[in-house]
Amino acid sequence: MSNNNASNNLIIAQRAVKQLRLEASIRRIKVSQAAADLRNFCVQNAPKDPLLMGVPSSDNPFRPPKPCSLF
Amino acid sequence: MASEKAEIDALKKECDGLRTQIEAARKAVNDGSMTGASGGVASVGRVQLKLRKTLKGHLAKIYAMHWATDSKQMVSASQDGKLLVWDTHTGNKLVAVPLKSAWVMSVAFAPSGNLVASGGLDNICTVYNIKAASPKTLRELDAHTGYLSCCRFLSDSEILTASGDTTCCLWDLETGKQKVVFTNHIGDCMSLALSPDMNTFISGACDSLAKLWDVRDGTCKQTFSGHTSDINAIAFFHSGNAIITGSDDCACKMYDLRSDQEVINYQDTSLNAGVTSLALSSSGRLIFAGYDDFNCHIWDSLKGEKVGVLSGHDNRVSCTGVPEDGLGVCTGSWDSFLKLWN
Repeated sequence: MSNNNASNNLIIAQRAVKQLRLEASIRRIKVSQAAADLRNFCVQNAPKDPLLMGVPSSDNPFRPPKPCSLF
Repeated sequence: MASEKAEIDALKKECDGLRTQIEAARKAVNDGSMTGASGGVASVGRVQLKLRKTLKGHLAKIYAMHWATDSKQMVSASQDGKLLVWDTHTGNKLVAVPLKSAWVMSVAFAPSGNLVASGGLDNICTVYNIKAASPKTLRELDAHTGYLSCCRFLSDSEILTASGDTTCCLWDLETGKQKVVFTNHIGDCMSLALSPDMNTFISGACDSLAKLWDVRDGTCKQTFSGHTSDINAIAFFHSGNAIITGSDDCACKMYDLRSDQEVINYQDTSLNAGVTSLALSSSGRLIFAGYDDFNCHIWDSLKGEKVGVLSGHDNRVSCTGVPEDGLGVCTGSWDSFLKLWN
């Protein structure tokens, strides 16, 4: 019983080290660069963002249709 | 015995060393801030969206909703034991899928529009063909040992699931079998989101961590910390380079994947409710976050300011979604209603 637990703990510890080594090894870019890219993405796509620009009534698929009378 | 203990202690020391190394590496690239980079960007002002439709039909709390890729259909799941597929333009119900288990927690629409999937406290992800004359169960994906908290289709033949058993899983729908199991979280997985290029996905869990995974080989590539409670909601920024998380600690955070760290925190001292769900507008500038305080608050993703609120539900907002065409936002609530705003 205690043998099993000890082996399990060893395996768990080995996996933890392996995972952390992987995560430690990645290349990181500067936050200033990352932030600039995120900002530019938002700014470039803003004109096509209906929730930012507003949806014209005539083109609003969710707007309840106006009643229509025919004479 | 003793040698094993010594080995474990050595490994633990190595872990501590690696964690310190990671923190130092993150600090080394932390040469600016999101708010700093956005100083020159025009403010969005007050965002005031109008309630356009209230979808009534569920008889109990709504737990989940998901837009179809056509931006018109949407599926919702309620603990009244039903999935409802809606035509959001007319407000009509198109399909009703009766569930074997009413304790549903998640629902997903396949990109093709042919299939929907749901699951919850039954631990099973059930996939339905909704194009058949009446909804037909295609597969019951049964291998998780905990509740199904989230599911997302990659295609009609593959689906990702997140579970309270702390794992996520990629399933083959042709065989009904698990293809890849993603293990590394030490708390219930609550939410997942697929990257725009579908090569990676992110998961948020009750261990307050968000993790980035390689869909094909199962490896956890990055881990993001900072939240102090369960992460209930997670989404990719549309560029694929950042993720947004929402947590029971009442905050949302944006983490940048390439600099491997948190770049902005969305928190307000007046907001003392947990975040249940979140969705981004099509440019990524607006974050719609559903809270336990019955509201969906709107954040300016670049400046970190609260810019609006969607009020109208009489109970917790449990799910939020923006369709692909970005023309509106849908909120679902424990009050049994779904609301469409734009």
